Amino acid sequence: MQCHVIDLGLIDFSQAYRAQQQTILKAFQQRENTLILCEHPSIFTLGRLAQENFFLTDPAAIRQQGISVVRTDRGGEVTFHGPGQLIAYPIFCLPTSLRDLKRFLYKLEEVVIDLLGYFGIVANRLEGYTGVWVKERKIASVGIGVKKWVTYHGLGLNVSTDLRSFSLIKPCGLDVAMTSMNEELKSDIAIAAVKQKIVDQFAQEFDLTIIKTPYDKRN
Amino acid sequence: MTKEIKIPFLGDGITKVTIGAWHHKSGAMIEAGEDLLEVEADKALFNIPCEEKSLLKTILVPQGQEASIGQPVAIVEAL
Repeated sequence: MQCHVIDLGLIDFSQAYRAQQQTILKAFQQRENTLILCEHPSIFTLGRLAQENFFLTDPAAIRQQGISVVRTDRGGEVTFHGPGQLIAYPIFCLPTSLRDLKRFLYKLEEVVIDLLGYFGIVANRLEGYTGVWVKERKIASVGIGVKKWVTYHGLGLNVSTDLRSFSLIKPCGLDVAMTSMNEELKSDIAIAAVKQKIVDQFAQEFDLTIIKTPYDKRN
Repeated sequence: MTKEIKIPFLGDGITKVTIGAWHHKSGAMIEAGEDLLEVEADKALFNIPCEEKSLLKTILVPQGQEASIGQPVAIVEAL
């Protein structure tokens, strides 16, 4: 299966969402797979059915600080995105053999677990709690949308994220400590190195032939 | 012809979903292939289309409620 990789760099959530929507149309029309990588300026996002009472601070107060709070069309509860968190949006046309939501989510977790292993971090799943953990600390969150068995949204992996913003919420609706690769390794990891490795891991997990594609931000 | 819209098979181990959002109200005309509703299972929000051009007659399960795989959630009339 071929897959384009597009690196949007640091991009507003809403602009990246428009890029996802355009890419989904290409997936419908041309059966084209794309992996979008990016980081977002600070923003809290909620899944479609997410409960606002998982905010520990009034969302209005958060907005007054200039941080957006946006509800979007993915599964899952509230989470935080910010610089240093690697976002991967796999826009994948799932073949019949992979049209199984739990299995797809499992494979996203596997991408991150294997990637972290490469960098010397032993990561795990917690049964009943989708996402990737280092012992009982959460390092990556997952939440997807699916239309006509084309996936969108995806995962957020804390590489060098400022974790303090997570204290304003119950991340994913849980009383949980968040962590990052920098925290676990007690050293600074270049996000560029993590981006390269996550592409390799996606290619391995989903049996992809990777095509790197420049993205025209005028689109 | 009247048809039921049912929650499709979404994978092994998924027996129930929560209705995420209805994209239309009762009485609306739905184009062929247009998404009718979203359902949430685990951390996935899955869009269910209406395959044929239809009139949405009745919503059987509102947003926020649970439904089982295979359960009818709407009645439509294909045009």
